[in-house]
Amino acid sequence: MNILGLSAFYHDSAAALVRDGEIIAAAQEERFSRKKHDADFPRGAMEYCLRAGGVGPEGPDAVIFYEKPLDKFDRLLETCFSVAPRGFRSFLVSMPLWLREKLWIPLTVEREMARAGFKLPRETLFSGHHEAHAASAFYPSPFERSAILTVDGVGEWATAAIGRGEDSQVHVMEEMRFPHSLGLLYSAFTYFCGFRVNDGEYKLMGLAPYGKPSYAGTIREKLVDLREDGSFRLNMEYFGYLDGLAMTSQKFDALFGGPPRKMDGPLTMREADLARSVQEVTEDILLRMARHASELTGEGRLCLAGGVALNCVANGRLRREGPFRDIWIQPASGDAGGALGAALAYWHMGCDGPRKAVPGDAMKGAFLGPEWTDNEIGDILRREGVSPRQVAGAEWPREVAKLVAAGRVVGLFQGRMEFGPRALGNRSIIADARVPGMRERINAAVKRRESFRPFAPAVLAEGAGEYFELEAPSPYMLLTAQVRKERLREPAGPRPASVDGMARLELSDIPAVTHVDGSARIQTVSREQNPDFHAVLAAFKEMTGCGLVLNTSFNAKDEPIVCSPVDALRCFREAGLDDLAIGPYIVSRVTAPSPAGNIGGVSS
Amino acid sequence: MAGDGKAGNRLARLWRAASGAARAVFTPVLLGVVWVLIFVPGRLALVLLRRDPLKRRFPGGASSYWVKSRPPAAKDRWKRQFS
Repeated sequence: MNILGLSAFYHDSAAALVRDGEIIAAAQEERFSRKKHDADFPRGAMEYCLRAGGVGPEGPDAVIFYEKPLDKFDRLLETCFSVAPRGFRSFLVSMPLWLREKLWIPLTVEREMARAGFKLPRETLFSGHHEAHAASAFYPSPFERSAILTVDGVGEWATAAIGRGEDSQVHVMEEMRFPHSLGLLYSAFTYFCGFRVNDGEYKLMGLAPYGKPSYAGTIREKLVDLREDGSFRLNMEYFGYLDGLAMTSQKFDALFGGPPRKMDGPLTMREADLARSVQEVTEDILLRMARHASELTGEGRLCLAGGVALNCVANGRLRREGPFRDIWIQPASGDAGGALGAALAYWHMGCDGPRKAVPGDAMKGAFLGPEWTDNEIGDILRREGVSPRQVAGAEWPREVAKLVAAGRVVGLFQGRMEFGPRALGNRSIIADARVPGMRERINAAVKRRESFRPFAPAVLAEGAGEYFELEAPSPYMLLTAQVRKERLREPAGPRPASVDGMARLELSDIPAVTHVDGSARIQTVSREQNPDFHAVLAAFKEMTGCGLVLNTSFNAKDEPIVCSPVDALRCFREAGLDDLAIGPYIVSRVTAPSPAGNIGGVSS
Repeated sequence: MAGDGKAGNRLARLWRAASGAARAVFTPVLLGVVWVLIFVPGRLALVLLRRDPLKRRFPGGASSYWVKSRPPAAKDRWKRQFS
């Protein structure tokens, strides 16, 4: 039975195809439309999933949407009733969208299926938003049973939920309700610090270690009425998202020493301190929620999803200090993962489909997106006017490792695209993490982004302990851990007082992936999950003695991660990469500046 | 014939522009009327009845703000756009 899951109309719309409980394909729409965080109907992702699954013109057996639109509409109306006569401007923005689009989802699905050449589904089905998150967390996990915690901005009414998964059943037990939301609290600070909501949250998380938690007391005292069990109320006098278009109110400005930072404004220690403070409060709340989930369910393992579950610093603390002996986190924890969760929920609970927990997990390494054959890639490169160098299979990892070891920045495009926000080696930019100045170079010249932003290491799973204080695998880059003490260096001279100054510090023998507090957001790479990327890391280790590389997503500033070979080639040309390893081919920028000089590649 | 096509395109563009302008004017007016006639009195009623669907009293005074979720409904729940 083919079940198509869809999420759309808020941010990061996506599609997923599940066949008899097996995850066949999943992708975010942004990768196809090339609009970052695209919220439109996932037309491209839907077509990809159906074709990848070999679904014929008869269409899937069921189509399910990831939330209940009328419950969400009810929340919108009740909010309007609660704030009128204020709130007209946000009513004016949201209501036309609801009347035009969000109230007619079955019609939209039918129209889009017909346009794509598939038979109309008998009807469109609907799961709950947090039910979809909970399902996306539990069903692919390796656990027979577990507690489930989902935390995000808001779904219909729920902003967080606790449940239990057992065999093929997911049961949501308790929830917290709008407007009291951990995700929206974090987003309010994201907005106040001058980053985009639903995009800049991980920037705020990256900024936090530069600051001191000097505002944490104020947040606890004035903004959050927090209970021992992790539930809380927000003081809505300080927030603007009920009746305005801004996340925070003037009272919030007064509390934190002035208006929000402008998006292109200078980054000061105030923003760093705010980021650290809200991060600390977030971790505290999540830990309390986890303890409550443990007591409520009596389970020893936890599955986690929802946008807040992408906060890998909090996840790391949950792992180290929380009550659970094991944790599994859905790699597409945001709303995109809701498409997958809805399809899995309907298979197991709507169709009574059996479930068997898979060792490791059932996500197939999150490599659920489109792929191209070697011949297709070769044809595309030649059509684009590139004469690539072809490398034989066994030599390929050594060639890629050689480029990285020469200090070059390499775009890596292989196999199926990742599902979720992280590039895990198939649509990645990789470089030597030991090279001084590599982080500044990639931030400034390649990604063209803020200098304070850290990069993640991709490390051989079997050798991760040589570098990090990591107790468990982290295949999806969802946990942080400290770099081992013996690798850390104390920089000479006094510590700089500015964010920019601190960002230039080289704090270990792998400086490009060591954050200012000595932590790293780790991806462990195993042979089983990604043999090609593992082979590159193993070859790099053989050449240099170092079993890790810097791994960042293969995209230019403000663009989604590349999807197709054409996207990869465009990004390679525009972002100033030194080399592009694409399928069995290597394309090199002969004129590109490189610490190691020209290595005789092929001009593009 | 080509001239007819160009004129048709121009007409379609004009029609789209006119309907866009009408929408830009009428939508706020209509929604404004709805706001004044429905939401403002609705808010007044909530104030008089001392009801707050968003539970904004701060601090709330409860020992916990978790609420029990509704038990799983019948199988036709999947067909419903509401829980």
